[in-house]
Formats: sequence, C-alpha cells, structure tokens
Amino acid sequence: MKKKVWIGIAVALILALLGTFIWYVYFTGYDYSMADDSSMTIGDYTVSAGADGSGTLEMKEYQNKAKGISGVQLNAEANGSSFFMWVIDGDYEIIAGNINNEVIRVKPNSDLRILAMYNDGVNAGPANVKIVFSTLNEGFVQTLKLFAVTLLGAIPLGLIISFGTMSRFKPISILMRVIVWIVRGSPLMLQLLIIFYMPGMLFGNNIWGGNEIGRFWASAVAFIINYACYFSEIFRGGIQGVPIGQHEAGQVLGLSKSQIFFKVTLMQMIKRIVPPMSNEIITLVKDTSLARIIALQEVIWAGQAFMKSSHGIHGIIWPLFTTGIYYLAFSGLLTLLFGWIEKKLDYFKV
Amino acid sequence: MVILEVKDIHKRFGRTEVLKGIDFTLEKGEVLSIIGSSGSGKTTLLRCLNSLEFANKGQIIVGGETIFDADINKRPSEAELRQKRLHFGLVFQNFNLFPQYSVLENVTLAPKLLKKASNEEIEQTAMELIESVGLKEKINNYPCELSGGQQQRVAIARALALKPEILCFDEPTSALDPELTGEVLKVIKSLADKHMTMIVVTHEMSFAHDVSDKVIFMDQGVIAEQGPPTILEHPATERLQNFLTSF
Repeated sequence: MKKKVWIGIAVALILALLGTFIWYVYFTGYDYSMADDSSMTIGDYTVSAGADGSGTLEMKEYQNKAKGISGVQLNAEANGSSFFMWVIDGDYEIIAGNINNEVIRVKPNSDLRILAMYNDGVNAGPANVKIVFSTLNEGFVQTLKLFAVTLLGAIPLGLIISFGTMSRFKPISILMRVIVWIVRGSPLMLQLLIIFYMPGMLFGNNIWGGNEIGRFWASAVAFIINYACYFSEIFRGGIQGVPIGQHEAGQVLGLSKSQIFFKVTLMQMIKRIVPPMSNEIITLVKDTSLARIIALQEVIWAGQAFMKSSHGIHGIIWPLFTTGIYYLAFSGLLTLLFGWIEKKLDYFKV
Repeated sequence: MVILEVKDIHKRFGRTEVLKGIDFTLEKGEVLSIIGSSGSGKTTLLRCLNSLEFANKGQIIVGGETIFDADINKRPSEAELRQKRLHFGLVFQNFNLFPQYSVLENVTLAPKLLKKASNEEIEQTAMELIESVGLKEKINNYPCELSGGQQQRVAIARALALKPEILCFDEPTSALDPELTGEVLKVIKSLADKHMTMIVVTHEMSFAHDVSDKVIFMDQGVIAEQGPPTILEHPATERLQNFLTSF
C-alpha cells in the first residue's frame, strides 16, 4: 500500500514537471498571428497582436531583371521592431531571405500561408521548439560520433596498454603504469585543453586546425587516451582474474597459446569485464559533454548556445536543460543493452 | 614393456629444491600411485611430466623417445612442446573444466581444435567417453550445473578424448566431499581394469592399495620407498610407517 502511494506521488511529480515544461515552452512569450491565413495575394495585411501591440505585413511585387528573377516580397514589422521569424505553411519556394529575416521573397503564385510571426528575442513557442530540437539533434549526433570513435579507439588501445602494464619487461610495465597514473589521476577537462592547445603553444602551429573537424579530432584523441587507460585496468583485472588452471588445462590438452586465449580464456574475460565496462561506457556518454570546453559543438554546446543566440533564438535556457533528456534516453538504452548482454552470459559461472 | 622412464629429476624454485633426484620406471598398462605428505614434491613431479614445469636436471623418456633432457639447453618450440604434452593427460585437483562450454563441448574442444578426426567421429567418441563415466544425461549441461564429482568425471573424459599414453591424476578427489570421492575413484578403477597406464597422486590409501600395481612414497623431494602396494601394509622404512599412521 505504502509503495503504491510513493509511486503515485512520483508519477504525479513527473507529470507536473513535464506539464510545466510543455506549458513553458509552448505558451509563454509573444504570439503574433495573421488575421488572414489564407493564400496570399498582393496587398497590405494586418497582423493582429497576441500579447501586446500590433504589426503590419507589407507585400510587394518583386523583380530583379539583372538576375532574371521575380516574385513576391514580404516585409513584416511589429511594434516598431522587425519580425525575426515566420511560421509559414503551404506550397511555396523561397527565392531570397529565410524565415529568420524580416524580409523574404517567394515565387509568384505561391500558396503561402503565414501562421504566425514572432518578434526578436522572444520565446517563440512551437516554431522555436522545432528549431531547438533540430539543433539539439545535430549536437547530439556530434556527441554520438565522439562516443563511438572513443569506444572504437579506446578498446584496442586499452588492450595494448593492459598488456604493457602486465609486461615482464620492467621498463615497459613501469612506463605504462606511470602513464595510466597520470591519465587517470588528472582531470579529463585539463587533458582536453592540453591536447588542443599544447601543439599550438609548442610549435606555434595548431595541428588540429581551428574548425569543428579539428576540435572533434582533438577531443577524440583526448577521450581515446583517457578511456584507454581506464579500460586497460578493467582488462587487466579481467585477464588476471581468469584462474591459471584454465590456462594449464588448455596447455595439457595440447592447445596453442592463441587457441587458449581465443577459445578458453577470452569468453571468461568478457564475462568478467562486462559489468565494469558497462559502468565506464555509461560514464563516457556523459563525459563527452566535457568536450564543450574546447567548443566542440556537441549537444550541451548546442543547448547552451540558445542562452545567448542561436538560429535566431535568444535568451532561452530550457534547451540547455532539455539536453539532459538525450543523455537519459541514450544511457537508458545502453543500460538495457548491457543488461541483455549480461543475461546472455548468465548461462555459465566463472 | 617400459613406457616411461624418469631419470634423476631435480627441480628448484628459487633456492628451494623441491625434487632432489627422482628415478622410476613405469610399465605399459600399470597403475602407479604416488603418496606422500603435502610439500613432498608429488604435484611438481606430475607437472614436470606434463611440461607445465621444466626440471633443472634429469631426463624423461616416453616409449623410447626422450621428451625432456635438461642437458639440452635449447628450449623446445611451442609446437614441439605441444606434441610432447600429448603423451600425457592430466586431471587436475580442481577439475579446471571450461565453464563456458557444455559437457560435450568440454570433451570435444581439444580434439576438434587439433583436428584429430572428423567432427562426427570426435563427437561420437566423446559421447561414448561421457557415457563411460556415467554422465550421458548431462551431456548438454554446463559445469556450474554439475556436482564436484560429476565435474571431475567430465575432466577425466576430456583428458581421455586425446587418447594419451599415460594419464596423470593430481589428487583427483581432494577437492570433493567424501560422499563424492567414490564415484570418481570408481571411474579411475574402471580405467585400470582396461589397462590404461596411469599415475595417480592420491591421499586415498585404500584406493592406492586396491588399484595400483606400484606405489611410490615421496618425502622431502626424494622417493623414500617404492614397491608393490603391499608396502602400504608392511612399510620397510620408518618414514612411510610414520606417514601411514597419520591416516
């Protein structure tokens, strides 16, 4: 009974939060809408104001003989300041300008309906939601790319490092242990900064280049090195955790070293490392946000940009908070995946 | 016919000399029991025979072929070593079954990887072996689903699948509950009845007495006494006398 009450309270809280969020995103701010939203013809249109003030929409024929194009030009204005965004629908083709401008030109005889127009610097409801989410999606693609590249690089490198730390040749094992200590013992954020800026400082030449691709590869290198060191310790535990008897049983059965590794010990290692690896990999999902420090345009960066200005939207903070949903959804998926793998490996015990 | 000759085996770990000159021979089809207290070097001797350890001195000759000679400094190649190991089979104290494989897969894994025969033949032989150790109905079970005694019987079948000339047992019942030792000893006895050449390191005195053709008593790295199983009733040395009274 008590349990049910608590679940009820939790569900109510989540619904209330979600409701507040939707209300905030959709129904706050100015909302100008056209009096007439039918197909456009040349003439003056009056914009009726949603919250305060009114605006005008002017429509002129437009021709540019030099470029050989002609069409319809729409100029919009409200409260003395220009419109910043249009929400338009219909079968139209924009020749010049875009929905973020106060002036757009469209082909003649367009079936263009103006559903709403929003003022500069205003939380603009549904239209913004679309822009924000498509921007966040783009950012999250970058997050996923960094995640995938890090995994692809850090797993093999981690194996190499773990063999290094287990090497019987002392200088190598000591060197590897020192590297692992440095990388695990210092903040990843610092490592990102050092890897991105150091080459430029030392050689006067930023090998990464200042663009997004350069930032991505600098981030990828920092993440691969950092995660390889964490993985190497997990792998070492997995390798050393397989009892020596398994190896000897393979030996007395006449198996070669590689047969023993691939056919006998590997599966047992995998079973041992899946739980700690799933932990690290879920941490990696969230750690990718640290790449923001060198301005990699991942999802947090994309969300944060709306606080200043991004895609014609200014001064809103909810996109930043919304990024959390992406991380939750993705780490939830990974949790399910690793749960499934662990279950698949449940048929034997080590 | 002498199948195994062990000549003057010495083995050191650091400064500790574990084996201080072991000599014995074994006839084909004989069962040899090695007894002795912990630390007397029994297990190390078995590990030397199976090339899991390398003696510092001495020779091991199987069927006329010298498979180990400490005087030859060249370390054998990986492939040679694998070939030499196949003269022997080894059953471990704690079974060391491969946990991720079923009973059948445990038995067929090595023959399949070594391409001993066609897969059908290997599986056929494996089934027969598993049946002979009394585990026909457990063929698709995993080691974690078996009792210790059952696991050890699978381990015996696994070792037999490679048709070793000499099968070694390293205290095969020491990790088992007393009520499970019987089923394993029964399997070993049935192998003795089929004249399998075996070396059994054991603490089961009555088993050693009933099954073996020959008994070696080891003490502090040397063979203190050896002879037919009757030495267990009438020990010639005081050391064996003392050892036996501790049971």
